[in-house]
Amino acid sequence: MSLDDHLHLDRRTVLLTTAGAALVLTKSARVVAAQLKPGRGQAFDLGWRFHRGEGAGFEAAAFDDSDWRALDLPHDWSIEDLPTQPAEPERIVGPFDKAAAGGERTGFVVGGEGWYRKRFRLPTPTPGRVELLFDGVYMNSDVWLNGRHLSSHANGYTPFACDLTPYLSPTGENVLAVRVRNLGANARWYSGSGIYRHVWLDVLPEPARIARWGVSVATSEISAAGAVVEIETRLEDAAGLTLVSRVRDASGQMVWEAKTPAQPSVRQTLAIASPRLWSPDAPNLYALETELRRGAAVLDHGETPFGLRVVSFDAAQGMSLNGAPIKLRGGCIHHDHGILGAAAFDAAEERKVALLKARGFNALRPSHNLFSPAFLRACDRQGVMVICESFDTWREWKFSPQDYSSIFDANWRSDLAAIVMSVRNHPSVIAWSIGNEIPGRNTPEGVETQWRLANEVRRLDPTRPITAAINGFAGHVVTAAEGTARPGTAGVADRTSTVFLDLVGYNYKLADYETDRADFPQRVFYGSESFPRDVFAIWDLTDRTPWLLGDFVWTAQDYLGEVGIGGSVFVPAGPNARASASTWPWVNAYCGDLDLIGNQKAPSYARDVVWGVSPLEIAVQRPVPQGQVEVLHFWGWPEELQSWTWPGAEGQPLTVRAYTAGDHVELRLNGRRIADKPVTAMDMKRIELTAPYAPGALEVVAFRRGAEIARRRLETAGVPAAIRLSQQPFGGGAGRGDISFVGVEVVDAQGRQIPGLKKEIQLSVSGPAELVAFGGANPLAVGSLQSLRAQTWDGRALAIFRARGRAGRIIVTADAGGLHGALQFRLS
Amino acid sequence: MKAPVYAPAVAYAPPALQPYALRVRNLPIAELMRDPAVWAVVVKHMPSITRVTGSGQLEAQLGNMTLIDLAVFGDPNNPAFALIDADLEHLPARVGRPQ
Repeated sequence: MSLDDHLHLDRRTVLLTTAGAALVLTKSARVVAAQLKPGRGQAFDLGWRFHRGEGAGFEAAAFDDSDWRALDLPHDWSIEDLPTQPAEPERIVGPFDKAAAGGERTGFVVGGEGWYRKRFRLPTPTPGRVELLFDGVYMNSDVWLNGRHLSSHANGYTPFACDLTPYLSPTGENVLAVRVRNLGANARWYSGSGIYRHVWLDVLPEPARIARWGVSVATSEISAAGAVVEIETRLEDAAGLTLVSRVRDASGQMVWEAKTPAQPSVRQTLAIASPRLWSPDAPNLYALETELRRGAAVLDHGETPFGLRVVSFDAAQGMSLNGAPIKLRGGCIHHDHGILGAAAFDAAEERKVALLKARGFNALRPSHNLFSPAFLRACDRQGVMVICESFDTWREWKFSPQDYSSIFDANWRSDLAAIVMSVRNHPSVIAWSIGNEIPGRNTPEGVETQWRLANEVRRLDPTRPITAAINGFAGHVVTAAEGTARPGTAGVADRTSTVFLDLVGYNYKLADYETDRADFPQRVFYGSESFPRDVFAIWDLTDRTPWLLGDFVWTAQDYLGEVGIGGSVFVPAGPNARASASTWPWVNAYCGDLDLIGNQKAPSYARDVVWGVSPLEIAVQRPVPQGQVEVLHFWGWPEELQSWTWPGAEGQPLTVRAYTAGDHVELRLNGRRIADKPVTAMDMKRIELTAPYAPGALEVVAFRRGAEIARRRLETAGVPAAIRLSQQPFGGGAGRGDISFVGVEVVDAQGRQIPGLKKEIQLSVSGPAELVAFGGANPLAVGSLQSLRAQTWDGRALAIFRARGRAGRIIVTADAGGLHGALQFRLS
Repeated sequence: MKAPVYAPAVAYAPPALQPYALRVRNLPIAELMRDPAVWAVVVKHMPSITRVTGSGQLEAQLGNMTLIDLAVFGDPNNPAFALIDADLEHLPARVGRPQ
């Protein structure tokens, strides 16, 4: 059998439909609990009850939750519509509240307290071990079983497990209650609220098991003879049992197997001949199957996908993967899925990674916290390298005394352990980041904390380097002594922020790269954050210098929160022309290469050319009104569109920007050549031309050494004539955990998208699916994101449908003032 | 090729601080603010800096930003930097930061 995660997920889907589908389909007030069978990692997402708000006695087993909302996970209540405020009609727009406590930081959404309850039935007599695993709950969660408090977990991004065994009901009927509190100013971006990632249940026949995150598999050497792999397996209550380990390749062929008496810790070394290595170009995966047996009976079974790869870093030669030089073509991202909120559906994670990979990103920096397992699996499968980041603050608060600094001391060690142990087998993860722009990092206490965090991660996983994202001042020059310093760096001058880091991430310090390279020649570094507008200079330097590992732009995709740090504004010309900080009704950062629903924005077209994804892209600057100038926000980009539809600008000279790998471009308007320009090294692949606006066709042709290498054409769109609906190639399954994506475009009679168009669209859907999100990429709050009615932005929108748990045909229709569109597709 | 190993260190001892000169590029704003004589020089040449330090928005980052780092978000060629350095050069040497 194929052991990649597709099959793994299919098996989960089977479990969903057999163990839990009845729960979601029931209409009865009290959900009837299906009996769960023995097995590890059973999906536990279906059949929950939810109440938004506080209350007394909600944890009690006998509490009547029949009037609570029935729902299935993953669930994010912050993206749901808020009740309108009749006294303040302008205050609430869909899920956005002008008075939200998080304000601009969190995109004006609301947290608060929420409760979840779930009934489930287990076999009797009580199984030997039953444990619940939450992939992520935002945040401050408390779990009760049958009215008994089991655990508290503060971090909203790290997974945690609860041992249910001691408190299970002997009748087999059990009630789980989870309280979630997203209170105060605890987030610096959109976090979401609730059980927004998957929940899993282990039901094991005996106490014996493979320890939680107890399997480690790592490549120690690759040579002509093959790959050497080190496996460590930790077992619990396993005396007298047998451990069976086997490795299968992507085709399901077994390439290694071993049986050994179980011990608390079992170390194994194996060699794989003719290995298929993991890389962004060829993300080959293997799977380690681990079984714990008593005789022929399998008591526990787990699968660990892994990849064979060796990642090395060198101060002079940069980064290599499997011996070949490679640059980090990176982007920073937050974990929300735009109009879907933070709900971590697997298909949404797959889609996010796929859209960015298609734009040339081979590396992502999930900022500034652990992302979902589904996201990391997507990176493994699609070949995207990951810098896995733990913290945005340590002991000193960054933006609020209620941020993570308030719980750092009590939680950093357990949070680090959960992150490293749960993530360490993903081949996509190439480095551990212990912090982003950490306040107080240069104080004596901060330097010691840096050492303690780095050392703890090295203790947990010595196979990956430690990094952190350093903004501004990296501290005074220091030297560390033997025994404290990283191996080989005792007595070597470095700075307080960087002395214990194996790789140094630079945030917005392009101007320091070459001087730091000269001052600290032993340092290995990369751009961990950069302004989008610096893409040309950064990659000009990066491509010229082996030592610079690469760069991660802030950001690869738009996200909710940190509103309006990107984009630009038109303001009156003059010496004081500046862009003031964005505020309500902005809800979106608007600094991404891709917009909130996944479409390319102007910086993405430029990056396509800089990274060789495309030889030529063009965009037209939105006309700046007379007497005004365009001012960019710090993370901004000029307001330019791939559009030659500018009604009202007839005859005006419009600025056309061409991004090209060529050495010469020619500009044609309605078939007539109107300009041409050489493109020199000084231009860094970016050149401006001017064309008087006249409806028709604008075309740019790029040449290199006299030969045409590409041409791009923009045509003036006509009046809206239809709505085009198209199913996107992500998800599409029929399981209750599956979602499907449908693109919505308003087009003219020739099928051309209408740039800049804002149009209300009314959807209808029939078949075994329900709408879970619908909206455009507008950076402003314009309405609900879960209604069948939404407004396009730039002529486009996105609808997301959740399957009801059975196969069937979905029919979607769209209407807007005489315009119509329809789409049928099948969930299977 | 062998995979690198990033082994933990043995024990923590504070790293030894190297001497540095009292210049705007060498000290974060928080450190400039801690010395009244130094901060007086900064404010004399950059009176607008008090709006930044007093706004609360960058309070947590003042230990991570020199005046020059802050200029990433403003004027990177502010002539005040040279004037501040010239005055700082005439201040008596401070412990830990010889001129």
